[in-house]
Amino acid sequence: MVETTLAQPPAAGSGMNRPKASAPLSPHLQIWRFTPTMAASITQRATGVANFSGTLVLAAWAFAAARGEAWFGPVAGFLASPVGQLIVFGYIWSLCFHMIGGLRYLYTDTGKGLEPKIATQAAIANYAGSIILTLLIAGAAFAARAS
Amino acid sequence: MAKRPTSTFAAQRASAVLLIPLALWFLWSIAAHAGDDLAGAQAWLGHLHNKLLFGAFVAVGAFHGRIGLHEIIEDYIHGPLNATLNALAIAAAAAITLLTWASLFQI
Repeated sequence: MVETTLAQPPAAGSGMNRPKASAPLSPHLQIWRFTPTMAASITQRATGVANFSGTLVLAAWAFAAARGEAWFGPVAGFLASPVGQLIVFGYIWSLCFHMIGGLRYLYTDTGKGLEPKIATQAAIANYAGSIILTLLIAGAAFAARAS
Repeated sequence: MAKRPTSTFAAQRASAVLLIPLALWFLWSIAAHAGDDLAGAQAWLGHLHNKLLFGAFVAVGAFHGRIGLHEIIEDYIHGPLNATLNALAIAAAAAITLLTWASLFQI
């Protein structure tokens, strides 16, 4: 039997160009059966990336505020446009989801709440809680602007 | 061998805990200041405590985000591109933090 190098799993830590110390890797997206916990896990990552991009928007906003009207006008104008509002609304939801998800992970880090039924309920609550919190904040924002 | 993942895990969790009050403050602020004009934004960021909280939210957020990006890169990108993307993520986090802090203290 001829063994090809391709078929061999790389020995731990000896793979080409692998990071020096090996933290466990996540399974690839394609091999997952759909469950709320799996969806929440992927959403946690996606919102994390979105939040990182959000800090870039915050940096741009602060930079524009420091430069004056020539910079602030276009930035504030864009954020007030329909696309900008969608970005702001999405960013608020993304922060809410990731924050609640983070609390969920801090809890499961202690070894508790890992039973499938509880974990599934927590994942669903993560979505529900993030939507409720976002609507509350968006409502408060509209109320603040209207007053 | 296991030191890097462990300290990364600890840094990720510690920054996550720090971000909870900072994010709550930020979400509360966004509700009040999302539609600010320049004068409103400058008046708000003119207060030292707002500068510090805003700056801390961005700095700790960028630091925490950098760890997460590293995790994703490690999971999906193997090969020489891995180190390049990690370096880019570090540079982006540093640039975002520096730009924010430099701007805040010009207001």
